[in-house]
Amino acid sequence: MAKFDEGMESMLDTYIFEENQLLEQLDEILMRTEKAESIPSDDIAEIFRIMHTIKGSSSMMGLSNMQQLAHSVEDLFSILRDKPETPYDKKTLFNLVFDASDSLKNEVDVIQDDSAELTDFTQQIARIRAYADVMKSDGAAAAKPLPKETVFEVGEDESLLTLHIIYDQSCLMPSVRALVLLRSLGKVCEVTKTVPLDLDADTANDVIAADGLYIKLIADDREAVLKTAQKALNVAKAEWVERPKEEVEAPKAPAAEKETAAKPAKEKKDEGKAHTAGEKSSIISVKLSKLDALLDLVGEIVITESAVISSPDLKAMEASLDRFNTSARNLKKLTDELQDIVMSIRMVPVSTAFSKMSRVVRDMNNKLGKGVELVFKGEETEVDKSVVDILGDPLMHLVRNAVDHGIEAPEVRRAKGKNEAPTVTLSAKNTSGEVVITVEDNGAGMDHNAILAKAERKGILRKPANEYTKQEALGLIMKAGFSTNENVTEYSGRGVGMDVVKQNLEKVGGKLVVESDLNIGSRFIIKIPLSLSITDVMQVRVGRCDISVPIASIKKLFRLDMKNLVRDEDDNMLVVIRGKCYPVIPLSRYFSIPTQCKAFDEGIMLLCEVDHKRVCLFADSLIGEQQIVVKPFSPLLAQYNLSERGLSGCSILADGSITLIADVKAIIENIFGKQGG
Amino acid sequence: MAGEAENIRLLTFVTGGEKYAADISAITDIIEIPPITFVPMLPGFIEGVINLRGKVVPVIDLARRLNVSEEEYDRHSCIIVFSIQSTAVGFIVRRVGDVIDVIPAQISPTPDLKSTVRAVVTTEEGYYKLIRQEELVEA
Repeated sequence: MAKFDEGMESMLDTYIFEENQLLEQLDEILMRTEKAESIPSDDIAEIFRIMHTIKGSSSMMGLSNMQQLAHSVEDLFSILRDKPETPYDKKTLFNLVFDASDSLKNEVDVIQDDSAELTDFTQQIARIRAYADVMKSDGAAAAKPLPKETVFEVGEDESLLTLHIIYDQSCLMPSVRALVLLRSLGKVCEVTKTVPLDLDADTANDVIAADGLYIKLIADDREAVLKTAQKALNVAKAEWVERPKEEVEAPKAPAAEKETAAKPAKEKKDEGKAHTAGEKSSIISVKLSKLDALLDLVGEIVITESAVISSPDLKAMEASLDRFNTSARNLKKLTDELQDIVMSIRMVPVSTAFSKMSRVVRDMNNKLGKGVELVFKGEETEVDKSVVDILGDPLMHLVRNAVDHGIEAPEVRRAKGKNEAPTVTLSAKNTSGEVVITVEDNGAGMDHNAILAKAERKGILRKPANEYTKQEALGLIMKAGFSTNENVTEYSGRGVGMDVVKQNLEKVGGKLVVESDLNIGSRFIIKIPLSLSITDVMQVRVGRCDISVPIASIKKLFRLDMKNLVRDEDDNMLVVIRGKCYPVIPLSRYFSIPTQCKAFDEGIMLLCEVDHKRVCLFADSLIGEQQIVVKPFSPLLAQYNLSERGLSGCSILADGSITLIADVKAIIENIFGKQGG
Repeated sequence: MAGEAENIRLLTFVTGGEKYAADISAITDIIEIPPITFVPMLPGFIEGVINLRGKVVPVIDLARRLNVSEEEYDRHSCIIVFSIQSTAVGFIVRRVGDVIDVIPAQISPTPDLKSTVRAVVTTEEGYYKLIRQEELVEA
């Protein structure tokens, strides 16, 4: 069976997006209110609203497990909303809600994963319900009996048919299912009225659960209507009912009363909706791929524009170009502005990545009892969306490290005479073309001599220990096979070390620097380029090919002095630089590109390093430095394994020509693989 | 001459001294031959890549791909750009001919399913070979 209601697939994306947003909002409120004495009534109402919305939309999707879980939490907060004086144990309450929030978040992932089964929340719901009962036992008033509406009004059109729907007991929100049903019934008949009339009203669920739903409708094909109703989710029974011969007039009055009573409630609700709608309308969500396409297109417009403005045909013309030049300048201004705006659309504040950390710190505080305070600085700094996505994991790692290893246990801090609150500070700022994110703690700091000693034991020193500067010594903690904490705790020391953080950042052109003072604290500085789609490359010419080598992997550019070139017996060339031997790979030979340039001292050497392996690539000539946007090869070309063989993609340059991008890592792997085997 | 419902519209072209046709619905562009960027490590029939309005599109020399006689290209030669599984691929041909409307009866499918020729189209001007472009881009 499908996980969600059939016919709702089209809504899945929206549902998941909305759910994630609501849950993030919930976390934000919880984090904010947890420290406070009591939860402000606004926030209680907000949590209630969030849970109610999740319950409603999950019900719409037919995800009954999420719906029930949200319902149980909603109940908790409805008690608090209706009777703010109800005593409760804040810690228990928050833990229950945090758990529920985690489960719901997890479930959103499960829905998207075809292989995963929906989770059974029965036990969790039971725990929440049990606590709700504890809270309620303080004397919540019994629910007021509900006034009933009449099914068969006096003077009603005789041709109206009446359909009676009874939902099964497990259905928590029959009113929502009723709305979905009405929508599908709309295709086969004309619905004139339902009893209860107002399906949005708070009481609708109880009325439908007790008496079932009556739908008044006009239909030609009674069979089709009945079938549609019976097919609907959670419907236990659907049948036609006939109008009784004699109608009792008495219940009419309460019905009218009910309508007037329901109206203010509804109006109030609408007001609330209009309010949130007003806030939401200023923000829309767009698929990232569409923005990428837009960015590409704008890039093309800029190139085409410069092709038009500097067209050689214009120079050949005798006519005066003054007016043309004025218009051309205006056009240029506009396209520049357009480009800036498109770039800025992809920018989001780093606070989205930061705020997730408050949750991490909260959970760790609960477990470790360190009472660490998390401080944000410059969280409004904007970075490319893809940067925020990439920052998530490294930040999580650094923050966990800071709380787990950096900050000392409270008694240790007291012994050291550190009176200030244990703090982890996340800050962000923009510098030219880079975002600098700092994770700083006022904890124990790191002893660079201890690090050196340990590195020596582990055998990862590359020169005598006394030659290391403090900065270099601290850098050792980011080397593979190094972990300062010998104990494995839940939060760190699980083998995924700083080296992985560093490597992941370097993959996207970022850097990680460590600063630390013993007993004062440590600072981890992440520098990451503003936009990840742009790569700095060195362009070289090989035969008739224009090849770009990412600057990140180039160590040195030089012209060869022939006396440093050594040829071995297998006709492999080696170059000797400062007493070290590196293989020389002529790109023309590697890529089988015919070239006129035969002499090694005529062309240019690029000393490249990837994963501590170095080679010298040899090209005919140097063209220059470029910033490019990498495009993958078309699938037609990708089937020839170009990336494994050393070409990672291509890029269109400002003049419209195409450059090929060399993948130094793949080249080195191929070379060393061949030599080894 | 608006074709009737069952009519099939084909583009005819000549390359390597042979007459070919292709279903026009799969064709997105017919362009002059722009500068072609050579890409190493590929089979000889792939000429390289071109910049088609900001997209990098691979270009195949159709005559070499079909193993018909080598073709000389001049300024009247063209690249026909096909959309194959929503990926753009260009084929260089010597000359582009006409757009013709044919009825299914004029199309005789070839028995070999792996052949690069899908069918033979019989017209008053003679036979055209209907290419199977999906097969031509396979390695």
